Amino acid sequence: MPSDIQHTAQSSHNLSFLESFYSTYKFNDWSITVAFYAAIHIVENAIFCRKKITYLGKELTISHSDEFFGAIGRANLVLPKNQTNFTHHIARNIIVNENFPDIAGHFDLLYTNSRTARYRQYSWDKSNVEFLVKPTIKEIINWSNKNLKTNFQLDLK
Amino acid sequence: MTKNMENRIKTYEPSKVSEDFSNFLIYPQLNLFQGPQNIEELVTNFIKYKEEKARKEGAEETVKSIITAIRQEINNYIGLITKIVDFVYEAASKKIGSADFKVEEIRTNFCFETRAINVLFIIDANFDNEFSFSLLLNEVEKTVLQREGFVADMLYINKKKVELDYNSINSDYPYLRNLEKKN
Repeated sequence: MPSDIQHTAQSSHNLSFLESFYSTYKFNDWSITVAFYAAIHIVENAIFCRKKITYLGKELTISHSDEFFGAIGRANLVLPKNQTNFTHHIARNIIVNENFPDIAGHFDLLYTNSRTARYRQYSWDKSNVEFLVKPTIKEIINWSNKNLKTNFQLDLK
Repeated sequence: MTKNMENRIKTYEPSKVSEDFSNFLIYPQLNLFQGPQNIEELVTNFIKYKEEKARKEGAEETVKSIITAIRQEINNYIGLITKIVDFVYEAASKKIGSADFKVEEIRTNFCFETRAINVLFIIDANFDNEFSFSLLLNEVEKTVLQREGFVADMLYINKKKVELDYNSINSDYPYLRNLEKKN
């Protein structure tokens, strides 16, 4: 599993990439998706740093969201009844929802809209990404810099 | 033989004279078997028949109970999804309800094998209301996990921003909740 250093490096890499083309507004669908993938690494870094997260109020020790369902089983906690078809995105969303409520709404906005941008609608106008990407990813960055002492920068002009 | 006696023979009914036998119902059943040679064979065949019948009835009962259990599971699963989406619809209408917010469609894709809860809401909303709706979905997902033990994957598409590709949507989420009945 990647370490905190790798997660922060990958977040910064994705944020730099976003900066490189965002203001052209030619690849608005990719602005949403790249912002989401930067947010993923910010969240994974938070999970790695905290090590202990809660699931339905019970403490679990994990360093990556991929370990989530395995950790539930090892802790003899009840797995969700429809556990068989989950992706790591679902695991991460459950973790964020319960453990990082300050950014849960913002993270979900990027998750949902990046799925729409990737699989349903490829053409997004400027005002949509201005409303969606800028405030959302900035909120997640600020949260991480404040709570996890990271130093993410983003300048979208 | 007198004429009266002939009439009595003609009106003879085997079941009437069998009343003395406590198990006379066995006899009609024994007639189901072809060609028994002696009483031992008769009894053996009869026992076999009874065993076979019990096995068959047992299997039928088991199948029936399995079908009933599956039907119940399916009903519970569909009922849960219906309950969730109706709750979201009501809560969104009450909490967010404004001129700039509307749930246009609610769609799902039932998977009876995995009991996955995949719901797609098509909304028409400004950015603030979209954010409120996103928060509401997060809360509902959390509650469904806590209370019902199910993970729900609930997405939305804001049609204000995009042109919808209904071929893709119908294929991924073919079942549509009838919102007209609710209004």
